[in-house]
Amino acid sequence: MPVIEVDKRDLAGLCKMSEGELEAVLQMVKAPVDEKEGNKWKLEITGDRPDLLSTEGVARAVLGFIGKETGLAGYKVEKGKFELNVGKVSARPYILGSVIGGVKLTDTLIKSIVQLQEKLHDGVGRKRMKVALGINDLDKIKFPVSYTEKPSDFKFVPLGEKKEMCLKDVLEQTSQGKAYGRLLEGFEKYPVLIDSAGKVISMPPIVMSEGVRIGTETKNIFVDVTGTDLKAVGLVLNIVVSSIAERGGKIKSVTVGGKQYTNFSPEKTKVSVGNIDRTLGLGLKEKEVVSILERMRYGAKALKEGNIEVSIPAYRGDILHWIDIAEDVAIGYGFNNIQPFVPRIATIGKILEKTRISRKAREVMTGLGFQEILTFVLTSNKNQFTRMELDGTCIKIENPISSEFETARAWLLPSMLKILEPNKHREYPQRIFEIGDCILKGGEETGYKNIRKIAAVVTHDYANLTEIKSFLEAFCNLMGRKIDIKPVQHKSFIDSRAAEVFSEGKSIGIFGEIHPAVLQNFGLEKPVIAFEIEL
Amino acid sequence: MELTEEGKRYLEKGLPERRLLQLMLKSQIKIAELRNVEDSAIALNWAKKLGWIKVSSGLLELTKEGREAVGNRTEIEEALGLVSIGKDISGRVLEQLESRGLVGEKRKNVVVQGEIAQLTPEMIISGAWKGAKFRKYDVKTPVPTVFAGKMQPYIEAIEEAKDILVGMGFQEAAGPFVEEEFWNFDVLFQAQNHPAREIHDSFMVPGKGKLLDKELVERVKKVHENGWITGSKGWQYSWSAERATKLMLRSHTTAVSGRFLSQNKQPPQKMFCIDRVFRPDVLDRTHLIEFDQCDGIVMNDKLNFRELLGILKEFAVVFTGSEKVKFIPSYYPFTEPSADMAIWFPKLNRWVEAAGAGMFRPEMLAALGVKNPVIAWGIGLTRLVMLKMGLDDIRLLFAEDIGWLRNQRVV
Repeated sequence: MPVIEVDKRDLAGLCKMSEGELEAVLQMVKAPVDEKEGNKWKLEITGDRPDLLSTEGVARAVLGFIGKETGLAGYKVEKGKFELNVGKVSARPYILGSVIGGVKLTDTLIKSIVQLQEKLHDGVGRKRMKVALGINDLDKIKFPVSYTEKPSDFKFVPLGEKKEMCLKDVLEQTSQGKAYGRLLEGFEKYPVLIDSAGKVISMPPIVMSEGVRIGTETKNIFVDVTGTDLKAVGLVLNIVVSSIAERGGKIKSVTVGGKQYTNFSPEKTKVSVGNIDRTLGLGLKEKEVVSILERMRYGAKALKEGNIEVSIPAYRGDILHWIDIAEDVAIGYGFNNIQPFVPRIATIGKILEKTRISRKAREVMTGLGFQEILTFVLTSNKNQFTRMELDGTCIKIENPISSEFETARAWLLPSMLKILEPNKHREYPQRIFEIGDCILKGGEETGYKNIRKIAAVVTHDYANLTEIKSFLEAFCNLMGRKIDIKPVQHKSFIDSRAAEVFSEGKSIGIFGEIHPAVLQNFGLEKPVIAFEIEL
Repeated sequence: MELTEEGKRYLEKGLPERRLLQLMLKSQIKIAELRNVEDSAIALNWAKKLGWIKVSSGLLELTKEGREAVGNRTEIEEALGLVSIGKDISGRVLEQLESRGLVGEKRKNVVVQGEIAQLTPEMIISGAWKGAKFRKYDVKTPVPTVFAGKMQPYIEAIEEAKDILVGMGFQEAAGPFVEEEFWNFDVLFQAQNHPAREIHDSFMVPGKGKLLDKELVERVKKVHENGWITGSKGWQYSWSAERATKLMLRSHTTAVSGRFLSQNKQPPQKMFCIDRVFRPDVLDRTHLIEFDQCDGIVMNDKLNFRELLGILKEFAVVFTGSEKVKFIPSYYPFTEPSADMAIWFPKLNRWVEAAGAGMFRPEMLAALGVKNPVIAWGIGLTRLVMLKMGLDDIRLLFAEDIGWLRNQRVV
């Protein structure tokens, strides 16, 4: 989940609340405080609410929740005389823009805007693939501006650089270019937003231009949003513009490709109070639902027959279904105010047969004096095979975090032997067992299947075949499993001191004395005997 | 070698089978009458074994062998006499005498000199302990440690959680570690370009799944693309079956809940699954790359959000012993409304986020063909057990230290 940093005094000021009250409310509107450091609060924003990724967006939600400002936030949009011409841009065809005039850019606001831009890039923007945005000083731009594509030798001064660079160098040499250059891979020409004087505004989605950089002296802002998905582009523009406008300023529309783009026209939908109430179980009446929705910054109007017409704010991209509105009713009602209720639904509880058998096996093994252990499913190929003097592989995870956890175990014994080494100073005899699922080839759907196994390991100065066979027989006898035993050659065990175990004609495992070569591989100095069978 | 007490008695009175034979010569005997005869069970057993008698309609009858035996002493009877005068015997007869417990080794004459340190069987049998002095032992002397065979403490906690859920009427379910992305994400209405599906959040496995339920695949595609019949907008993109065949180690047990619902559509249902899930992360005191999750779902013809909070709270209170829980708004792609549950741990003096919960989305239920509301939760059980056990390092739950494991209390 994305985390944003806000100045607590700034946010409390916008919300007209004390810090203590504010913290409790934040948790109830999907923006809980995760960490505090002096005046800085880190808020953890849920993934469905990109509109809360700025101090201003959070304040808007809090003001509604506490009832200070309710209903749709009204953003007036003046018709502007700004034209944005759109050419053919293969890499990211869509662009929208907006102007906000008369803003007072403080350091706090600039920080908030830059943070919002970064978080929108990562989330809704899918690391700039879907959407990227630029925030530019309007007074440094001569309209009309053009969105077009330019060849790789085209030059401009990217944000943060001192001299001109060609587009190819921007991609190859700047940190932004290296991070996002892959989004333009395979294209001969690159997207560029350029003003009528030939000044570059940005090179979407890589970098903005030094020439239009915003600062505290900036009075008017031009926001451009480009992307591969027009809906997401519009959503991001609405989130950014509405957030900035929360601090004051006049929003002016931009004509994009000859069409006047209107921000903030709310989508309207009809919801049934009955459906919402059945979902939440709070016994809410129409009037209450309308008032809660208004506190959640929706527009809401009661219609006939228990329906409500809901206007969804244009900065909310997460409403797919009335169930999403129902959730906001629960949030507006206050999770604190909901009395949990336990319904009596008669069903029979039961464990799986696999669990029952595992429990019995555990009982028998502990009765035989074995300590149960638990190892990880993920392990290394070296441990599973090489150290066991075997060739083989199991699953090869495509993106392991380290070679120590590159595969999933096919058998339990290797991890159990690995445990013995750090326990050399513990009292002997040591008797340990583990019950766990291994992954083997097979399985109709994926080609793999889980197999539950049990393994037991004994080590002391005189551990031998007789002892482990006694344990295996005692175990199988009590578990009601008839077994047959056949000698087997297995490189992990001493020759002629290992046997394969069969049950109902099927091989289910092995037991014997571990080969001294294996013991050496695991750094062990005492004889080890073991069995491992399918449970 | 000498006669045992029993051997001596038989030598004096005659073997039980001999006595029975003599009794039968006097009168006809019903088997029911034997109850009052001394050693009758042994007598009957041996007389039959030797072929002296047979039983017919409740009456004992002498056989031909029986009549022949009347005047002749058996080997055993001869041997009893021999042993009684100090002669040794051997072979089959000795085995028989031993198996009948009629002869034994001559008792050694045990003499205790000074004090008794270790009491021995010989001392007890011979009575040599009588009048002897026992050396005084210091009961406070330290002794060697012995270790019980016992359960792994973390597994004990997991089994306890299962018992609580069974008590609440939940039935257990399970699913495979290697899953198709389909079951891990797509069935749960998680869009294919959702950030949580990026490769760094899951362990990917080579190969492709077969997407066995073609009708389900078709319905999943429709809800993703346009919401199908649910009234939802869907995610508005082109859903790829190819992408859904990719294999991974499941990242949550909600994959199991989805599989369960695809097979169990009639209300009421209560299911739980406690099992391993896998997520790339940095291993440290509070993070593992594999851990156990506890998923629970309830399906009923009527079911609401308040009831979800009620059921989840009930489990948490019983399992952790804390009475204080609170619910916080949250987001999961497959539930709406969603909530997180935090539990107050008095020992830690803080709230701990323990579970994610919600009502399964209509898009997910429609694709699965479930017509009733389903509430669901997922608990990071491993972390919760760590806190419950008062540990400050989650890796201890998979402890390698046999000494630590041996000494973990069970109560």
